[in-house]
Amino acid sequence: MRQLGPSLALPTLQFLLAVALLEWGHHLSGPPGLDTPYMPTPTLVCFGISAPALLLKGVLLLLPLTWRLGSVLGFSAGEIAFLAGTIILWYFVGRATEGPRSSAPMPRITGEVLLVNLSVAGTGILLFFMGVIAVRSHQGNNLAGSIVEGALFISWALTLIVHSAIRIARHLRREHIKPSAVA
Amino acid sequence: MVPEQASPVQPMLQRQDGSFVGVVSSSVGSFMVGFTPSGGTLFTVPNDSPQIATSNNGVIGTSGTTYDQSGNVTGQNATLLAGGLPGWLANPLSMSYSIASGTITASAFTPISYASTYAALLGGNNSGTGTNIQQEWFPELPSCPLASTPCAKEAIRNALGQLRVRMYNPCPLCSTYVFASNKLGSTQQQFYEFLSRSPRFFDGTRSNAPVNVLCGEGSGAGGFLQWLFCDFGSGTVAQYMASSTGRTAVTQTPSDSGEGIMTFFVPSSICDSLSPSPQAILNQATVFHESLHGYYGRYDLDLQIALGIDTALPSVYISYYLEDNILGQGASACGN
Repeated sequence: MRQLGPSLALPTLQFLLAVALLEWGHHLSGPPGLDTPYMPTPTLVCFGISAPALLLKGVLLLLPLTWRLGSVLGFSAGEIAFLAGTIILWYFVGRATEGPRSSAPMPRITGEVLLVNLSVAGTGILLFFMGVIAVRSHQGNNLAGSIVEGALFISWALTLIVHSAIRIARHLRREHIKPSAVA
Repeated sequence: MVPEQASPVQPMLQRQDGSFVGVVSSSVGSFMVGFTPSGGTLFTVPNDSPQIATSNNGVIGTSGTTYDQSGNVTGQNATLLAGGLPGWLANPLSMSYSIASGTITASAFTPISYASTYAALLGGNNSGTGTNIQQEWFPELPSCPLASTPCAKEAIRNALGQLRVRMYNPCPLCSTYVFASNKLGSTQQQFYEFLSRSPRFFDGTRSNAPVNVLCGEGSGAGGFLQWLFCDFGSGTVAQYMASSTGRTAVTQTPSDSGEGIMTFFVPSSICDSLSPSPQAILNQATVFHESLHGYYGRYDLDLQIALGIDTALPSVYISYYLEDNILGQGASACGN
């Protein structure tokens, strides 16, 4: 039987994990005596595990307010956007891990390659700021949860920044290697 | 149900207690009829039909006549009597935009307190599209404008007025205990400008607004990033208020860009007292506290840390901090 590839297995597993964590969070009400809402630790951890997926929530701003505040099957519009983002994110992570690990030299850098890697790095920078905000603002009245969430965001940020920097560097190095050396 | 009934009862609205109101025709005319889910008749009223089910188990007829839970006439609704229908956001704005009646008007009217059922309004919703939804995202606080003992709305508005006066005038203690750079920062003048915007105070126990309405869209990149983080699930504000003991208020954090404070209260938690009583000072401290959430976009835990309040204490201690250090002579409980 053919094995499930990472590009299919990862999004499926991460989607199920995210649904489970969000659903768990829905059943936790938080400490009494607060007058700003509480965000449960499973929800914050869930957002942290798939941090870049949370950026997809931004598209909700293009929708009317009643849609933005709507819900389907017990999940808010923001959570649904996040779950969709989770599938997309982990599909690309799976793709990145299942590609052939060739020792062949990197192709010559193009504008497209540069743009993609700069976008990834930009996403990393955005996630870094979000991680700092999460830690500093004690997101959702949850001290421990916000620290874990912030740490996960910063981990994602560093991973994306370093990954894109390495790729750009490898492409650029190719530019400076003599053709004879490449051959 | 009625003499010489000519057709089956047509259910139209569901009342607050779960019973129904509909119409039935007979050879002697049509009737509005109230009945239980099992079909027992509660009342019949000739020559009227239901328009709106209200939160007190009453009903307002299309004639504009208002009825109590037993079908007795209690008065008339001026808006419906004039041929208007409450439009979208009718209650929070106290305005009436009626396209259904053929006229567009913008006249102030007494807010209608809808039943919290799905079929409280003829046409299902304020647009009359036939989709039944729970009404009242933003129900008004209980109000009694000329009563000797103020209701929640008058008491909290009084507290806001007193706080505005305090912030308009020099307040060295405010600078020391709130606006100092080692506390929350910013300036008293900017905070006063925020307080001067129209407040959005609502009854949280009856609000069917999605709880995510509490995720304000603050200004700038920081406001956008904070909004991205913010998600409290798919429940309503009323469900959130009821989900844990000790919840007396919940505030949009931060307030939407350019808007004033938005707070949903448990009405009984507001002291029924006007300035300058100690209970009114407590109300003022509560408004001050909630305004800090809206203005700074900072949660209870964050405010408590910034103001040097033990985070193990409930957030009402932020109000006590403001009473003790700035407002003075406040009560610690309402004793309503």
